Amino acid sequence: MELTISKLDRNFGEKKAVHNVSLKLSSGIYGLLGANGAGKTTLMRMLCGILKPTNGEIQLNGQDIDKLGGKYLEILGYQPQNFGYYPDFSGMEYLEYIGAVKGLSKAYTLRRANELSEVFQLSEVKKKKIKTYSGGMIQRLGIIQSLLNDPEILVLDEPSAGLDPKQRLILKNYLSQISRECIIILSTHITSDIENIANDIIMMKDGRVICEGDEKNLLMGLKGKVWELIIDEDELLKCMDKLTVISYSRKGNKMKVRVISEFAPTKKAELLEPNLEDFYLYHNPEEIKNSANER
Amino acid sequence: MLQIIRFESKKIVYSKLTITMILIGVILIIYSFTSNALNYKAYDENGNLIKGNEAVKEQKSQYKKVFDKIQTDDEIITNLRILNKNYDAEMNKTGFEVDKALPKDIYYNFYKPREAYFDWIVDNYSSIHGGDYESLHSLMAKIDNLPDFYIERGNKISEKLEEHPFRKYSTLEKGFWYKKANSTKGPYRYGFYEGWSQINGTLDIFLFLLLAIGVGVCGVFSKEHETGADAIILSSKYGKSKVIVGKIIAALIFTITVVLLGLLICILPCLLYYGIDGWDLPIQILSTKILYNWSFLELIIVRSTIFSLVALFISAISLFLSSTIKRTTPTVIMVTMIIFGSIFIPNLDNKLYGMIVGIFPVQINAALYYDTISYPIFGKVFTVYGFATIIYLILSLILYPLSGKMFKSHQVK
Repeated sequence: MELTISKLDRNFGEKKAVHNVSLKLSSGIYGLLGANGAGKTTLMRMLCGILKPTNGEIQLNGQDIDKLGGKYLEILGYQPQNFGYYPDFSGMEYLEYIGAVKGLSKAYTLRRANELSEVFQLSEVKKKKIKTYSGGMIQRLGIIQSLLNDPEILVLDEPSAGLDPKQRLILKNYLSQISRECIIILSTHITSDIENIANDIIMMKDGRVICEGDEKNLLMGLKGKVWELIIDEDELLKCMDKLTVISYSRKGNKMKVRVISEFAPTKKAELLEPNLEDFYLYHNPEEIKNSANER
Repeated sequence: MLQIIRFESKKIVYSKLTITMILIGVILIIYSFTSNALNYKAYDENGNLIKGNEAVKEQKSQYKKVFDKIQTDDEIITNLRILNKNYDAEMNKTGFEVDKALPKDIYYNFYKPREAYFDWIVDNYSSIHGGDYESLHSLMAKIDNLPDFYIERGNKISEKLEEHPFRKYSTLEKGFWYKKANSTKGPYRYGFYEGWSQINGTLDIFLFLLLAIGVGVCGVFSKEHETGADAIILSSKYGKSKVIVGKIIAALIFTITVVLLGLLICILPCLLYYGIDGWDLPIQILSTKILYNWSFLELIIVRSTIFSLVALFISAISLFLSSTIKRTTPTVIMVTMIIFGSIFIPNLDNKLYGMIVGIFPVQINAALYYDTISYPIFGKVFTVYGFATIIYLILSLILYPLSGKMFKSHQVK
């Protein structure tokens, strides 16, 4: 199975939300990385057939998904970022409804809903009204509904938002398991969600795909550029002005700072192995500024 | 499909606002019945006031006795003369104190059992355009010169059709209404029809049920947009097909259920309490100026049908607005305006204006059968009921599928 995206554009007035995106996707997990407004959600909506591209096309095994219609949607699972639910429905009623909308039999829906509720630890509350659920429970319900039809193409928009570390791990493991026979497109700006499980990382910025490849190859480009410095606290601000600071933490009365630099920033700087977060922040330095401002 | 319809219906009914609106409508209908039933009054032959169910029984037996004959002109004049023989005009100083003008036994044994009947006679002799009001008192004064009851009715109708202050009827329309007048020329049977009268009166307040229907259906599409559920629905296999049909069917089921519930609560208690007496009496005994050739049963059937069609239209327009505006609150406001807006439209003396306003929800659900609004189209004349039936059916048939089409083409941005 192959999903081909060719020269995809989506404009909203003057704004190019997605611009000239071309990708070839087959079974495996695709981590769609990018800051807010990078075009991830717009791309995913087009992949799910709920937003028409301005230009370009999406094909499944050589056939336009628009023409495939119901046949394409039958094998699709989608969890939008803020997924809609009905507060007065119980979790199980909601899944039954989604099952019916997906064209699944009631018996199959119930069996599958029970299975997935076990996996994502929602069994105990599945008969309670959704309005009594916590944010994490609602998020898990959203994940379950997307998996209900055992999709061959799974599109997850920020699925880990609101999940605790244990739930994130459960999700990661589950996606890993099913990824052999399924195209999974997972958007996130939390790099740890896709670290070690994504076959391919797609980095988006300003509506374009700026780089794509497996984790190892992408990180190769950062090799020899990630450093750790130990500096005095009063030097931190200066350091932030001069270098791309990824993170910092206190170490005794000193500061331990992780930076990206083409050359060793100081003599004592220690070279580190790059990770996905370094890669993400290297391409989105404005995110560092935002988080620094928040701090 | 049944699963989808079941869940879509659930979504409609789970709204607290919808439930509240239905309850308000139902309470108003029940209140209308109970207050009238409990306060229903009659007088026995000794002048004792009787209330409630006993009063119904008493009046039914009185009517059976006094209206056993067809109300020919002779019969009507005879009844007026009996009254006149005992009527002391000088005692009735204001013109409205019949009790003072009649001896007690005549008042309670003859006048009171026929009070509504005498009012009906007076109405027949009053001006068709209002203003020249007659009373029993004034009728008593000219009893010897009173024209034939039914000829007078015919004259008044001619006056209405030929000299209407602002409605100039075409020859075609005049022919149409004269034909109707001729088919209802009488003489009429008079009798007890309280149950049907109560049902008829209660149908006027059914507008609140229209609002409940509008409010219930308003969120069918817009709530999916507002909650973000549209993304999941439209990306699912049946999201653009069966779900849309399911939503429309659920809205239809909800509408029909509310209409049937309203009619049941309105009709059943009235008929159980007052009985079915009067179902076959002509509605001309409400007013001789009515030209529709209907019995009370037919009147209720026509009004219920018209209400059902308006309800279908309100449901359809709510669905359509819900799928186009994509916001529930503005949709509710617009639907409320569509239902009640015409209350605030000024009553202009203009024929075309009357024809347009006549088919609005408030007007068509009111007592328009007293009026002679007609629509000459392609050489045929339609009554307001016929025209409204066609318009509401066409609009509903267009708007239901159109609302689905709008949702189907929706882009999740």
